[in-house]
Amino acid sequence: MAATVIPPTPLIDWHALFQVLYISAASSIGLVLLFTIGVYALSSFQHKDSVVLYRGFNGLIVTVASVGILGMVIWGFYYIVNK
Amino acid sequence: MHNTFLLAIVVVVAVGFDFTNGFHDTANAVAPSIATGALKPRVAVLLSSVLNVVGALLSLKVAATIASGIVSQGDIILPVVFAGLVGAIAWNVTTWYFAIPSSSSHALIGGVVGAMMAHAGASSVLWSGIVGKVLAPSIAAPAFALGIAAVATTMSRRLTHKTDDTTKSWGMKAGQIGSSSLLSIAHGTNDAQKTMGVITLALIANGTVGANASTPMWVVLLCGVAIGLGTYIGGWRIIRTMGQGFTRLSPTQGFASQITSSAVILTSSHFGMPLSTTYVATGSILGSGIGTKKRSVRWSLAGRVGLAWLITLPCAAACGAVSFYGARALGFSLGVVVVGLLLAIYCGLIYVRSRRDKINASNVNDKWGEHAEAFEGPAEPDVDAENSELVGV
Repeated sequence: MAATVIPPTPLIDWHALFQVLYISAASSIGLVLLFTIGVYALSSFQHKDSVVLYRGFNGLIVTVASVGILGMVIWGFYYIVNK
Repeated sequence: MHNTFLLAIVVVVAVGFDFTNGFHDTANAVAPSIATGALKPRVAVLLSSVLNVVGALLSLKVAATIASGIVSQGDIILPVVFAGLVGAIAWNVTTWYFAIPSSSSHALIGGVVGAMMAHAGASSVLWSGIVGKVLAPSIAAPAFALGIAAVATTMSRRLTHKTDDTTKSWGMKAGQIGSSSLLSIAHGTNDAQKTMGVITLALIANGTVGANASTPMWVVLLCGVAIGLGTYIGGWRIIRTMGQGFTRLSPTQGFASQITSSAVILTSSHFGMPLSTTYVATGSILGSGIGTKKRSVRWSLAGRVGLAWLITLPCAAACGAVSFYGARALGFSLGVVVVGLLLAIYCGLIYVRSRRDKINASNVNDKWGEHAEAFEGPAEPDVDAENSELVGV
């Protein structure tokens, strides 16, 4: 009967460390970018002398960015608590 | 063997450690917000303390790691847990006096490991757990935070360089309030659990609960409240180092660093890694300094803090071992009382000494160097000047 060889458990869980790296990199850079774009669009939206269509476009970006940020935060809490 | 008196003392000292953990680590969540003026100092620590309690109630994965992955549970006796906590508190209070943002987590783990080695030798320490679950994440996480915050700050700065200053300042400060809140929850999630893990360890050692028992709810609530109170006291000395010392933070930098810290800490908590929130927050602040146009960071201060990080584990371990030997020499029942009193006297002396160079909510944002001579040496005013173009945003 052949003996079963159990591979040794690695000292450092590199897989988990890299998961921490890419999940936190994606979420933090994504959130900062989204927020920055929102602030940029808000700044442009406040320029009352610009074209109406351009102001509307920036208002849309502000709305989308706000919803996106809120969604990311809610998803983050859900991820931590339930996964 | 049951020893309710000893267990009660261990729980009291553990709660004391949680309290020091709170005020030692307040800076992690609030320093950037206070430094940029996004929040008033007192409002910042109040918000952070409440959210730390909330965070403490969210997850128990890190508590499980602390309770099972560091030392051999079969060899643990209550005086070991007591001595470990004494070592951690002594180191926390010392580094607080010198305004060094060192790791409360490493102090705790070092204290327990030192006491355990004094009790049962080096073989009773799970070295693979120390390396895999403590050292590796604690080295990797601040490096991740530094890199991510540098990239995030650079991208944010480039995207908004044409944005009007008022909107940018207002928007980023508003974002900082959100990110500071998230970071406070992350801190409560990660750090309050460490004390929960230690108390659980003490309960297991005393036979009060069975091995592999989950953390009782009263422990969760007690630790949550203790870390919340400690946070509200506010470790102003360390807030000052992190908010003013490493770099001059603009709202853009503060927002990027806080979001990065939150993401790294929350993700690590999810994987049950008891990393140091202080190291992550420091890494993020340094990264946000690197992300500025002039890469303005006081590396001399960062180097001194890095040196303190290196000696935290061995120094806390030495304190833990000495405390254990002291308690054992007097007989454990009398010994823990005497060692506990000595610790209280030491903490009192440190507090009295700190009043000579008082830092509080009123002067925490003073220009770097005015209160730092005692440990920092001459200030480096050129860093502020170099980075001043970003400060006003």
